[in-house]
Amino acid sequence: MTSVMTAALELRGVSAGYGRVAVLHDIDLAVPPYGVLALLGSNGAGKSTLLRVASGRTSPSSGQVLLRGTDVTGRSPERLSRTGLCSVPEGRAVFPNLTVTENLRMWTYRPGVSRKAVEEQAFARFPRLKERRKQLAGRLSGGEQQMLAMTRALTAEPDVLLLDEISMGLAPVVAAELFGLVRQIADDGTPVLLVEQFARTALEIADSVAVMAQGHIRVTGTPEEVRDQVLETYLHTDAQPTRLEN
Amino acid sequence: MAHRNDTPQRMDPVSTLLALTVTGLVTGCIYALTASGLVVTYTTSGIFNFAHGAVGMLAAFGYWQLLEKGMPTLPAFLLTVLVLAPLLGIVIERVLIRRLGNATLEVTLTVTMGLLLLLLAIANTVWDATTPRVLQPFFVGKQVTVATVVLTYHQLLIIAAAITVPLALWAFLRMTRTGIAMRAVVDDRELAALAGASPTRIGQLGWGIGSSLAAVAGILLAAQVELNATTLTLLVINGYAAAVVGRLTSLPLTITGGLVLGVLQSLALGYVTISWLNQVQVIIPMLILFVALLIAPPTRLRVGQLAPLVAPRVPSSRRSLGSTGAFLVLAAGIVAIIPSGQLGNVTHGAAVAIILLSLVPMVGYGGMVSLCQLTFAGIGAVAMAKVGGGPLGLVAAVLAPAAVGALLALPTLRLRGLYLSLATLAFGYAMDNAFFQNASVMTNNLGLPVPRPLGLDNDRGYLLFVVAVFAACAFGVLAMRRSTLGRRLVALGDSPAGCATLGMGIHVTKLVVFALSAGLAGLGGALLGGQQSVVGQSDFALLLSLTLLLMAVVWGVRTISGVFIAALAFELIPQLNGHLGPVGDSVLSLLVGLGAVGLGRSQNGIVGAVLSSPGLRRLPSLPHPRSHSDDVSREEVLTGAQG
Repeated sequence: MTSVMTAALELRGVSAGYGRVAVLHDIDLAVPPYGVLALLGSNGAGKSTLLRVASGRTSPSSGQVLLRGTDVTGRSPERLSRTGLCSVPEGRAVFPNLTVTENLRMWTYRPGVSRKAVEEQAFARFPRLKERRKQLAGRLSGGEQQMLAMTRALTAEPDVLLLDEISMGLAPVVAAELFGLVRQIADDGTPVLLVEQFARTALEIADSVAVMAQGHIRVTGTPEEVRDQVLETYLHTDAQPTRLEN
Repeated sequence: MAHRNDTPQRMDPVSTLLALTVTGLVTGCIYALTASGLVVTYTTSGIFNFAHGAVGMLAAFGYWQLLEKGMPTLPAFLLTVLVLAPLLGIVIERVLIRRLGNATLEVTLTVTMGLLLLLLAIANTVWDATTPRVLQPFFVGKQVTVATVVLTYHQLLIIAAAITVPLALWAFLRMTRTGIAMRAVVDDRELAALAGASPTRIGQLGWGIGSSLAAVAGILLAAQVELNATTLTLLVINGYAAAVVGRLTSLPLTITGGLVLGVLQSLALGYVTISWLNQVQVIIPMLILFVALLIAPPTRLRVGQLAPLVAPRVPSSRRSLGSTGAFLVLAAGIVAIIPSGQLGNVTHGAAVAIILLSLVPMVGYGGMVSLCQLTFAGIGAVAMAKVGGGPLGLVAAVLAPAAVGALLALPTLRLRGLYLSLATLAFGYAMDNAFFQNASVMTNNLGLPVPRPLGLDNDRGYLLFVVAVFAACAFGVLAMRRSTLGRRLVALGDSPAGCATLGMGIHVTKLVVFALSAGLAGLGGALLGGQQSVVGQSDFALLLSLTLLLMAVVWGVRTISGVFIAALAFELIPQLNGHLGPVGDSVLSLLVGLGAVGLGRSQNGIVGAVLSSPGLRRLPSLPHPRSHSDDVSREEVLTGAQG
């Protein structure tokens, strides 16, 4: 996974936790400047915590976070977001009590992103959102909400895109569509860190893979290299059963 | 608003109706302005600001001071509304609110309540309350006549403000990105930050705008009624009722609520005369609040909360029996040697301790914050005065307030804690003005004579009796806590949703505890009355209720020792007054306010903090309680657990 070019996002020796509970232990992870890096691991492996640290929501107890080579450890989520880190948290990453248009307005905090551009891009890509632009986001279907959330990733042209379990609770068809979109965003030049619990789909679109268990990165490599080890890591190092894939 | 309007009796009926309606609309406009400010703060920070009226009051005084210094009207007004008031709001957000984070309702309530008392104490210290002050209305003497109704320019200004301010707010919250972000932060604070909006800045902005609106309402109101700190602070309760009509979130409904309230009050003042009720308009906010609570859809139960804090351990029956006995022996010894001159104060303190004890099951165990405990105490005292000092009188002193308490609890049974607190506040306010000031209740201006119960005319013997009652009640409260009812109560306070999933009905528990607590407060009130031999309206004033509640919460409302020390402090602090000069009168409120404000740190109160400090724990093998002051918020733990 060593890259000659500067990594889009890099974690160096990061440890973090909540109160007395340590979750991440001395993590080293580099998101390459192009392509999709899938971060896999079962429930409780520390994936979401890693994303929280990367997006500035949780401060690491030790270690460094670098965005395009610049040390951004301890920077607030809003500053990181304006600098070019786009993080779509798990669940439905929309504001349910704002209308679709108002949600889109919230995606304009990154400098250089205009309200008009966001709306044009969003409505061109997802005509359904245009039909429902005056509706509250909370009234949209799960898939539509996730599309709305993804328009931020589309329009912000971020330095790196962090996606946390975007397929959770969605119908397989919708999930497949979303993953197609992720692939396309990556092909357009935005590096993506994709966190997933469901290994199979993620392995299909990923260029590289890291597998987490119990707060450590256990395996890294290309999807082909790690395919067999993924299952093993899931089964052997974690007491919790993995969820059934649909 | 209780301002007297000089109803022109000799006018024809239509003109009278018109005049009353217009006056009511003007008053309603002020309510609407106040309530809009409340709603903005609530929707942007999730915290109901009980000190909203106090902020407006302080702004009115500040404005008056600027005028006194010779500043012209317009600059003084703009300086107050656009600079000073927002600054105050930002300071409040920075110092208090930001630390509250995910604090329990009980804590956020008491902190803003403490702020109310603090601001009130500041105002009373800076501007001596006994000096009457007049705040001139805008455009003095100018008026227009529209179809027989005379409207001053000041009233027109109020109407104009009530129309433009909410419209401007609405436009700001819908059209501008900052306004949208303010609403977004309420929806999902973290996501707003991830999108690039700064939740902290936005919180500050919300408090700044809220304070500014409070200032506008306060200044307009002060010129209509009087520039009196207490009046202005408490009149905002009418605004609370309007805000509840709007479910604390909807601006249009809130404004409608304010207008309806104002008109109803004005009409009631003009048309309704109830022989035994001299101030009909004061109970209307309470009625509106209750109706709004009844027709409002029930709020969703909150789930997935982690224990915000660990309550102090409950003593076993053997231990509480032992400590009750030891307390009684010690108390008897102390009672025997107290100088006769001090007997009155000490008895008063012991009676207050019983009233405070009534807060333990309600607030301490059940997490239901009652703001009118002294009202129940007053009902107890009145009941005993009417029935007589025999055993029957004592029974009446318990049963009458218990019945009223259960009745009060009914409309709020299915609602969350905040609405319950608001209902108790409105009830206390109505009783304050309609019941305790009522000639047919209080007999005469000197107050209502209350007999000593059971013919205990010896002061020392009476003190011993009151102390024994306190000890017995404390033992009873602890026994209740260990019983099934107690466990249900704590479960209810912890998670109503959890209770529902267990199939446990929560309504009966709530009702019983409300009645129990009110009855206990009534008993305390009756004993208090027996000590004073006469009770008056000021003994059961709403503000005093708040002071007592905060005192209890600051010292620890979850423990018996906490409320006992609170009662002692309540008696002792005023004794210091004489030594402190001009600040003296406000020192109690100041201290209590500061204490409540400091509560964000140690939420079990001072006694709770001492009890759980590592040095005092005798069983080091027990897991250390997770205190809320840990640098990790509950939310983080929750999401982290999924990560």
